[in-house]
Amino acid sequence: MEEKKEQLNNEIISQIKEGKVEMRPRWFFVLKTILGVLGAFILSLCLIFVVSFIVFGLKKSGIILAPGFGPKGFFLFVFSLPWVLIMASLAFLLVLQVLIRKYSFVYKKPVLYTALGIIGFTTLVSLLIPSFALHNSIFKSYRAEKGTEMPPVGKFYRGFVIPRPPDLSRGIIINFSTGTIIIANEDGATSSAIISELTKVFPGTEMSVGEEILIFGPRSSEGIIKAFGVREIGN
Amino acid sequence: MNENEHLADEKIVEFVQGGNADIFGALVSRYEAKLLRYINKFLFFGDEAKDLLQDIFIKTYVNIKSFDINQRFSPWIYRIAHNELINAIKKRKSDKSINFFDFDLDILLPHPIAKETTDGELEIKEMRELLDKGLKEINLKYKEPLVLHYFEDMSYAEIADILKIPISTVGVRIKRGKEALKKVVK
Repeated sequence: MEEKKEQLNNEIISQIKEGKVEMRPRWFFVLKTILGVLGAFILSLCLIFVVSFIVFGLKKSGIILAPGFGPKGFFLFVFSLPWVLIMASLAFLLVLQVLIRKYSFVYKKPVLYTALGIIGFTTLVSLLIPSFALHNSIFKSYRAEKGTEMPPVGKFYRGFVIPRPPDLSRGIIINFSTGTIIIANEDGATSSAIISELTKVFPGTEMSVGEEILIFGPRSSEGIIKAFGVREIGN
Repeated sequence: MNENEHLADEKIVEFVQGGNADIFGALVSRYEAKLLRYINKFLFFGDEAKDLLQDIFIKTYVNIKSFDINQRFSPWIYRIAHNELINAIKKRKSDKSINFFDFDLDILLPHPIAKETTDGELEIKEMRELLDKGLKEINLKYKEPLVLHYFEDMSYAEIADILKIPISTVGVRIKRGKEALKKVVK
């Protein structure tokens, strides 16, 4: 037994002395750590960007307010969610988990806690940085370049990723008379909406020219909206 | 070799990191029997076990500069052994105790804080006998913490560092492992 022990010991030491086995230098591990941290940081930024973009898209299209229009509005909200982006966020979250799992402050906690921690951190940062203003300015600059060749990020901002549900119309009231509202959207295109006694008007909604509103209801083939619900969009 | 007997593992590592390769032999001598016993528990014997043991020590030497001498060396070398074992088990496709497509809910969800039981000598002896009888019948995720706790005298915190799982999960796996073992042996 002792002989066998010595044998293994000698084999390993001789491999070391012959140079067959070499210690990795310290800088290798430092570099590995830096790259890991950098990767996690970049991935976190991607995650923050995508999450804040989802929130921006939902606010911009008015989808975020759709559940307020009752069960129909809720279903519209669920079906209009940008699932591709949500899946992309989950993929980022998963890769981020794998990257940081080797650190003791992460693996000592259940995956659920760290996932919630990342989601909480991402949401907090998305709220703290003026992400809405940032996305809005990019969005507007791409809309201004309408007609020119769009780089991928432009498509990202122009409805390629964020769905625009046909049953939701957002715009500023330019004309209001009994039974009819005319709104103009950001592009200046106008739409008429019929308001009846069946239309649910949200409390606090002011139907006056210049107010920005969200109308929930299908469009006829002539483009006239049959309003099921109307609500004012606050700042 | 005897002159190094009084040195702590971490001190020896510090010397190795400083370029004294000969003293690495002292670590090999200290851990050879322990690691061989650990490997044997996963049904690797003879040349297969010897090769695995050699790979563990070589990986330890290659990566020794990543070891922080302010930490304990023992869980660190067992972590290397664990990784090598997992790779070896993956290669040995006949092993049915491991299924890499199983999603492990144990590390996903929180568990109540598992109290580390202080088993008496007799209980440890009984548990070891039970493990020898039924170890090959139980799932790897229970097998590893049981072996580390009852044969290698590792605490829950050390096992958590080796397997990179929460301490509460270690407690849950040891508890479930014991139950599974009792069922198998009966």
